[in-house]
Amino acid sequence: VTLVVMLLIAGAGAGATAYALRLGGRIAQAAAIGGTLALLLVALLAVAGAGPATQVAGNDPSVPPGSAWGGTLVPGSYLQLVVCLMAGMAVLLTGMAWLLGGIPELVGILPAMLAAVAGTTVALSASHPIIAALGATGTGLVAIPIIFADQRSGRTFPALREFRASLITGSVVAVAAVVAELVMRIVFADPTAAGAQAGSPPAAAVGLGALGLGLVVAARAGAVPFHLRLARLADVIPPIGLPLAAAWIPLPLTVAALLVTDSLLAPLALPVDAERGALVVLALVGLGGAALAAFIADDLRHAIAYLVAADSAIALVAIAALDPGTSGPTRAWLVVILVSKTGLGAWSAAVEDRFATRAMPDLRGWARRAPILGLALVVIGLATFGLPGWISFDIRDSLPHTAVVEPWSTLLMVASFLTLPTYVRLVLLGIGEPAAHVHRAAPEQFRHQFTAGAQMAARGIARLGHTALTRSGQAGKAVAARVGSRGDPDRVAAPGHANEPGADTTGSTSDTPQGMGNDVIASRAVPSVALAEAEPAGGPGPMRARSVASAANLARAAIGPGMAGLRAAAERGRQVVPSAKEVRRGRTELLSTAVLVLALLGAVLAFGGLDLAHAAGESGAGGSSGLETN
Amino acid sequence: VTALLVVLAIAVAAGGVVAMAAPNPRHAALGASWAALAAAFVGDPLPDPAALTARVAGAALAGWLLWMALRDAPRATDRSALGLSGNAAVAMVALVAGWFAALALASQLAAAGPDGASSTAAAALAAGSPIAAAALGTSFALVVLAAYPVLAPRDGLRMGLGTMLLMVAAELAIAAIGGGDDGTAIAFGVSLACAGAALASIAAVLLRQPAGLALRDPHGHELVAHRATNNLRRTDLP
Repeated sequence: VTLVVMLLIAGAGAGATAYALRLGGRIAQAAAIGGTLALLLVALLAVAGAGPATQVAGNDPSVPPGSAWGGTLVPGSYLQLVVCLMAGMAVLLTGMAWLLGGIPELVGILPAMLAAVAGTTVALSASHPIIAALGATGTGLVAIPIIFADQRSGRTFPALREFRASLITGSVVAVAAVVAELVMRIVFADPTAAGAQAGSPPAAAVGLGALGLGLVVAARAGAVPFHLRLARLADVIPPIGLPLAAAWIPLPLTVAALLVTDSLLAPLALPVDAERGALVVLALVGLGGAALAAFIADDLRHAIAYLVAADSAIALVAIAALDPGTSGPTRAWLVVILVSKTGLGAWSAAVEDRFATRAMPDLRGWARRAPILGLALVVIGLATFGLPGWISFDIRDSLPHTAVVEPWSTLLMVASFLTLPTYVRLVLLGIGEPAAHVHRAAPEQFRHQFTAGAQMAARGIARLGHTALTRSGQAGKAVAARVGSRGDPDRVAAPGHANEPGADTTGSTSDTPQGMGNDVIASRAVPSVALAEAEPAGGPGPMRARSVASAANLARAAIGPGMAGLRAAAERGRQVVPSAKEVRRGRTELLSTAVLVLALLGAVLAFGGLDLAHAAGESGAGGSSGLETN
Repeated sequence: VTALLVVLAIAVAAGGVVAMAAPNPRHAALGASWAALAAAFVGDPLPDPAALTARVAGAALAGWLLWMALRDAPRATDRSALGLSGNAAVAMVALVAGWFAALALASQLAAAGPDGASSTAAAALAAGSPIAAAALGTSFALVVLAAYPVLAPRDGLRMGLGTMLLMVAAELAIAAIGGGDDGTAIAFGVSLACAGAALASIAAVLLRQPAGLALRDPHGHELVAHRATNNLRRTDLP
């Protein structure tokens, strides 16, 4: 049920925000808030309820627990982790997009992120590779609303390229899955026949299938030689859309391709060395070519896109391996890429916004003006390469050796570190003498902003607490006064009694709105007095009436100051919480802080935090095929 | 029923021919929508009625969105180099080739023994079902028809419709081999609806441009030059 609710929230949220954000005005504001809340809700649901052990499916024993639609979609730890990370990062990116360009900046990115979460949920929970591939297809299409958020000319060809890439890559994975299943039938039916020989039709089919999967994964990730699409895409989308386009979209397709490889192709163990060799060459070209392109690029967005593409090419090594043992590390690697490259894309967007340029020569000295962003880039680099013992480092070291023989494994391992010079170049660029663009930009005033923000928050909390305590005290005193005057409501109701010692119900502090407490008490008490005076004296009826009136007075006396206190607290909150304009005035520091948070999250995952290894290594939902493997 | 479904498979290929060759963009969209719609019924066995309804609804929604997006389209665009008859001939040859490929695959399955042929996945094909053979043949035809407009596009709409036809071809291939089920049918329906919506939005933007649906001139040059965004959009910064 949780899985279905997650899909409904993300899918309906995507549609509703896509429509409402274009309307502008208050509707767009409400859509932005609603979309962000939807993302938060999806993240909470992913954490709380989508686990395999938390729900029980129907009575059918063949249906895995927690699954939806008769076992078509099965939740798992990997799905939980990825969707939770995606939704959480989407909230941060939404905030960054708002800081960068206000509500108009959210028009494409917010619905696209919601749709990407929905598509990824389908792809990662699908028990059948075909459905996983189609979920990846849908995820790929989310680049189109980002492109068309700004409808200037020159955007249709990139949009059509995205459309083509999404549909064809998904279709190829789906067909590869079913062809692999067919070959599996033939081989397992007669393993002694031609199936075991190199060059036989089954071996050729498996080899071509693996090669096709590798090609579509490379094409989807924008690895060299398919990099032109990614570079053109990076040119036309808003900078904050780059993480989504470069890092999020390839993930579900890669997971679907790994699902086919591990569950259908690898068990056949057919001799397909030529195709595996071609895949290794493709991986080397992807790693080396993209690293070189990133290093020589003078356009920051292009460099970032190539950096993401280079790291994505490591997944090709896992496909070349045709070994289910590489599946877990590769899925962990994909999560590390997802988070660290989201941080890198966000860093790029913040830098571009900050210095009003994306030309690398104009960014000389950027780190001097933006030390937080400098720290964030170092942390992103750390998350990308890791240290010995970290997941990101170990995968770069061990995956090639698991997948292929020497000297190819060493070559691949070395090639996987070829992006390091680009990070060094960016850092060195940052500490150089500031260029004109950088010189014009205002320096980060994190310390000042932080101090001012902390002071404001502390002052606000103190005043809110003081107000709440004062009102609580008044409420308590009022109740005591009611209890003390039970049977004599006139005592409380008389104006003079309200100020007597022991029955003080006034707001005596300077922070309290003038006369609020006293007025409230008096106004609440008057009707009961009138009721009491209207009753004839003596007899059980009047006594009941007096009791009821007294109880009502008590309740009102207790609730009244509380409500007044809440109103006063709300008013204090309104005064203390900065307005949108005030928040955006400090957007430079806020953007840098958001990037730093993303970078730290990437480092935590690269270290192996959040139980990444366990989640990636599970053989449950999204990690096992629903097809029989005999 | 079998003969009817075989004729339907051939009609799907005919829809593909119209999509790639009809000069009128709305006719082309109609052809592709028909191919996507009718392909849902080319399978042995057919999916569950509920799944089939979802699949048909997805294709119909895609077709309706495309039809609406193209209401201001010009009556005629550049003709396909092969023309209607040339495309039809190519499709026919590919369909026959695919049919023979299906027969060859069936014999391979039969030769593999009872285990290879008895599985659900390949049962219809191994049994020599003409529906499975027609589905594979139509899949071949759609791939051949769509290959050129997708790989070397001159017209944005044909490129998009060709891509959708490739997706339909994938579905037909899966149906021929028997790898699909109810969940697959629903997933294809949803995917087609999403693809139709995406292509409709692209077509609407294309029609607002001076070059219309055309992407390249006869010499292969892009009509709308690639242009990067400005560095920043400082709209309402304090």
